[in-house]
Amino acid sequence: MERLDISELVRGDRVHSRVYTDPAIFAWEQERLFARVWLYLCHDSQLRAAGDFVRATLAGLPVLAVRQQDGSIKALINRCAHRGAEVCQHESGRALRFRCPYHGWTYAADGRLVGVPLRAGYGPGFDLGELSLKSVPRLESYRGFVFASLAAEGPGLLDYLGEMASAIDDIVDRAPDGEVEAAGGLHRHAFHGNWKLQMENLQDYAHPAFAHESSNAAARPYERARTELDEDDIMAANKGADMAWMEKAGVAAYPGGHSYIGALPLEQPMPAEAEAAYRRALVARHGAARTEEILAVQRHVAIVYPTLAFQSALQQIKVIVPVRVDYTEVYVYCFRLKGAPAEYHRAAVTFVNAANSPASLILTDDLAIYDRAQRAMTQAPGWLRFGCGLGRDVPDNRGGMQGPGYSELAMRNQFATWRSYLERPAPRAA
Amino acid sequence: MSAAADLATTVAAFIYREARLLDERRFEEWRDLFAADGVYWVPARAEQTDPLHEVSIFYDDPVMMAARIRRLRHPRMHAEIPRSRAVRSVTNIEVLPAAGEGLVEARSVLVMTEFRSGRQTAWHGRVAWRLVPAAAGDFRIRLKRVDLVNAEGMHHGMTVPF
Repeated sequence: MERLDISELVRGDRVHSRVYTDPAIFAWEQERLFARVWLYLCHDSQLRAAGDFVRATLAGLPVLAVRQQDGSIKALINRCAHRGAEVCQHESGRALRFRCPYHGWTYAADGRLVGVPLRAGYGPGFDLGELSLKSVPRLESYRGFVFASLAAEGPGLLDYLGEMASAIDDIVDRAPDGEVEAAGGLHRHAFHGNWKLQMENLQDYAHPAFAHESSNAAARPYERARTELDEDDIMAANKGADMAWMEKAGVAAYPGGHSYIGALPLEQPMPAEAEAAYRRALVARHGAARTEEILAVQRHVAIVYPTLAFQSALQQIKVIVPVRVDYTEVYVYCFRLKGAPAEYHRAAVTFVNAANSPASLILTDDLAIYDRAQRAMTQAPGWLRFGCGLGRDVPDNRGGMQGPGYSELAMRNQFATWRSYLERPAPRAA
Repeated sequence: MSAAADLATTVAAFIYREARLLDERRFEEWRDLFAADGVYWVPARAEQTDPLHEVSIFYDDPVMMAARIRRLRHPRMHAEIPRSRAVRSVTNIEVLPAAGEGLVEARSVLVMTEFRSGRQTAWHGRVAWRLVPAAAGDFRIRLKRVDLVNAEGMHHGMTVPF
């Protein structure tokens, strides 16, 4: 492999397009970044009983998250020890055993190899004990959100999340029963571009006025006549978010690459009865003062670097799966606040459709722009600039930095973190 | 001709016209085919029954549909530069036994070939129609539901209705 000097590619306010287009850098990202960090695996509520499983992709590896008999979760690598086939083809389900479809090697839900046809043919030294499905070394969860790390050693999950554990608090605290559940399905979309384009966009208040100009123009004047949130409300909110407003909304960035941007002037028009019932339920659990604190948290998108984003107030998360240097898949999950009136779940579904359906009036422009950015950067390599707001960042009181909403602070924070991972060689996997 | 054959002919003519209005990007005229409470629905999952508590690819009530069409007319809708061009082929039209007073239910199969942003894409789906008879030989759409064969697939963005 050609020698890569990362410090040459990422400087204070500039990044070279090669970090988005070079397959060698993507390979480094897999082993130096994604294989080291905590990556989102699944939510507790997706695995209710022993044997429940869902598929996931971690640093390019196909993984099965499986609920064990003792209630713990294991992440098994979905590759047969025999001839390399995928052992399980289902997206999710419940299984006592996983039998490889190719030659019938069979694994228990904890990954142990328990059955091999034609076993006599393998001779006396053949040891099933050595042929378990490989499992991901570390799993931890925080308030129902389960993360995995391919690194056997490293900081624990809460240390890793740091200040951005608050993104999880922000969604769970809003549930009157103190729990959320994955409910309402998911959206899947992909683009022909590098994953970093998506992570930058999620913290970018300078783009909506241009990238989403047609959506903003299509919004009817904001009004409260309707009782439920619809896409028009969201676009009207975008439209209302002018530069002065965005400056006020702010961006905050933390060690580890995490950050959030302040909320858009977006209200969830709720029927008064539902809103009152919701507040009563929250007050019953938390008391009036704590309820006000919970509802006062105003964030549009919070990101847990490198590949997870929360829209906690709207009960959705976005999981980014980098597939190739120029191809990225995105999974958007909707959650339900347990104990909240049904209207709140309907509003979450409406919002996730509006913002993240493959036919969204907003997302579709972002996807088109990522594709074209990737094409242009591949054809015309050169420097990109992330200098907006540079010098206006100030320390906040939680160990991070904050700046005006249009600042490119969050992107600079992502690249500083990226560089610190990529400059450290990974120990060679056995 | 029998009344049933008559109905089948008028329903087919209506569905062909609906497809042609979309092919010709006459979105406002297309919207006018819908009843005042009409809905255009593309579920995100086969056999989805609930559009309110589960996500959908499209779930356009008249307000949403109007916003979508206003956006399609905007000169800087980046996902549509150049404009999407599509041809819809409608087959397998069946009118179902009477669904209820003043309501006609029908099914069809749709193939839409689209050229957008330099890529050609073929979309395939089954369409379920709930139609309200209007003037002679005409209908208003109460519900058009399009079940894409790849509803759960990985999508690259959709800009026009199927």
